[in-house]
Amino acid sequence: MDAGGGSTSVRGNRGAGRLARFWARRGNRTAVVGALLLLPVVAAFILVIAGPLARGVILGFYRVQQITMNTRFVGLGNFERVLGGTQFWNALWITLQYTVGGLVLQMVLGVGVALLLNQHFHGRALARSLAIFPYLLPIVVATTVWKWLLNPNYGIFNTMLTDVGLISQPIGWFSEPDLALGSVILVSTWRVFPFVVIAILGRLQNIPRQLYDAAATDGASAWSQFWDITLPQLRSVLIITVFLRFIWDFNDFNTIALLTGGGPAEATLTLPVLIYQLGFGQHQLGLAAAVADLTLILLSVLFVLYFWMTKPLGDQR
Amino acid sequence: MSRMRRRLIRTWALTVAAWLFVLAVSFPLIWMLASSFKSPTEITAVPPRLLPDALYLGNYEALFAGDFWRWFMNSIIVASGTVVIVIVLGTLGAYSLTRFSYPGQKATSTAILFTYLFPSVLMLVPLFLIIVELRIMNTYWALILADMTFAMPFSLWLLRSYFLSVPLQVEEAAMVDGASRFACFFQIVLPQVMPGIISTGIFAFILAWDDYLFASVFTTTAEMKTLPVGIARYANELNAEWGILMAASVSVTVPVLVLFAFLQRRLLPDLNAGAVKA
Repeated sequence: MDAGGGSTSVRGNRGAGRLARFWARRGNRTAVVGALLLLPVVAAFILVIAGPLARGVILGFYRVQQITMNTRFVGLGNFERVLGGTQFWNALWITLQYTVGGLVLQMVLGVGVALLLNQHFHGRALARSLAIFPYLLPIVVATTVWKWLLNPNYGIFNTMLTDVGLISQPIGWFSEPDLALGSVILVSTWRVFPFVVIAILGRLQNIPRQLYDAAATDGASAWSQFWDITLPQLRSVLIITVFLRFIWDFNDFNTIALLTGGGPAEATLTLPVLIYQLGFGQHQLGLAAAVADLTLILLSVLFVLYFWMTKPLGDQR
Repeated sequence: MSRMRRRLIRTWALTVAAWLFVLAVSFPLIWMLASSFKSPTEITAVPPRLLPDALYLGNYEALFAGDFWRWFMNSIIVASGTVVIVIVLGTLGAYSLTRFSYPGQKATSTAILFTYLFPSVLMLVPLFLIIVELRIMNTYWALILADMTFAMPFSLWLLRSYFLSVPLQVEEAAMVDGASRFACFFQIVLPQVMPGIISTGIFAFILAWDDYLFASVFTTTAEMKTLPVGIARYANELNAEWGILMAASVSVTVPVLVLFAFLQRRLLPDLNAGAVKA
């Protein structure tokens, strides 16, 4: 999951630098002690993250025997097979549809709901907690509940839609090749739009009231207040939110694996699900690693683009 | 007068709109809760009714009589194990990153952020090989190791910002007064960041509790399944009962909600307020 966290106060930042200097004056020994304290963390990072990551990258160049797990170097063989076939490109296209489609819906819905929940109305505090509820649900719960809601035999949605005459007979939302991707996007949007709401609402509450008062005195309409004050103030949080959601949706394995498993007939087979199927459905670990490598390259391009567009997030120190 | 009236109408219109939306968003959850208390005949009744005629507890009884508690304990053990390891490492690391200065610090912080955003599915294949080689397939250790890959960068990043947000005057004063760094850490720093540590621990617990990807690949027997895997596998069985599935969904959600409620209360009090005044 992807919950947000604590904030960094400016005072704390400056204080940390000051204390660091204070200790630095006591000699270089403190620097050594500080670095030593980091050692277990660095070791754990290498063991469970950097090591496996490097191993995964290298594995893309190997063929892995199914039972013995013996590896044999095959050069670019895996990549040729992956890039030469249609499955990878198909999965990339579906991943982009899933990511961009979901992103647009999440952002529109998220910003709209944040603006709504920022207004004064009765029971606002309770409404806010309830609106972010789907985001707190375990993923397996969210998908199980939606499978039940959209169930072709007894699902409430099909019953309601047939009752009002929108559809003539129950629909298999996750089993129709034309509908499956759209259904999966809708479920994912329902689950994660509250993340956008939380991010935007937090920023909305910090826009200085005076800006609106001044605009109102000048006779600015509600629309122009939104375009000229609200939107520019939201700019940076919007960029970060789009970036994070893009990465997380691009790599979302759980939602699709639990709802459709990539089917029907590869209609929802995104790159993460393809990695899983190649590796653990077909026991082609080398091919799976090659797809993972290609995904990693795509992601790195995205990271570079983001850091190039904005100031680095990690530059808080 | 008419202005006040307009405002009143506006408030009520907003109230209706907001609550209609909230109800629509919450409907799947209401339906989940209602379905979990319906008997098998009511579940498949056409047309379906929102509320059950009587509170039917059979789904929960069947659920708790099955493998539920076994999976529940597995989930608890894996999530707690992950949290303990990750919090000890993260506290050390955050203290080092925020209270000392040495070369490579900034690069380390950026690396943590990068790995925090890093997708789990890319680690799946290499982790699988490592787990096979370590001969810990289908054990708690396999899942703890795998969950560390996302819980550790997340916790370290969060703890680092908590450590940064704690004012340093008290620490400085103690150091000037000649307190050892050891005493300083345990008596001054740790109590001040404790709320942050607890919150981070809860977040990490929820993350691990929610893991489906790793648990589905790195467990092979029924008795090692965690709750998400157990429920997902049961949902795919042909004779799966929706009433029991909804009861299971409610039961997995409740601990998460309790933790979030605790988190919300926990985050409010500001322990520093008193300490910095002087």
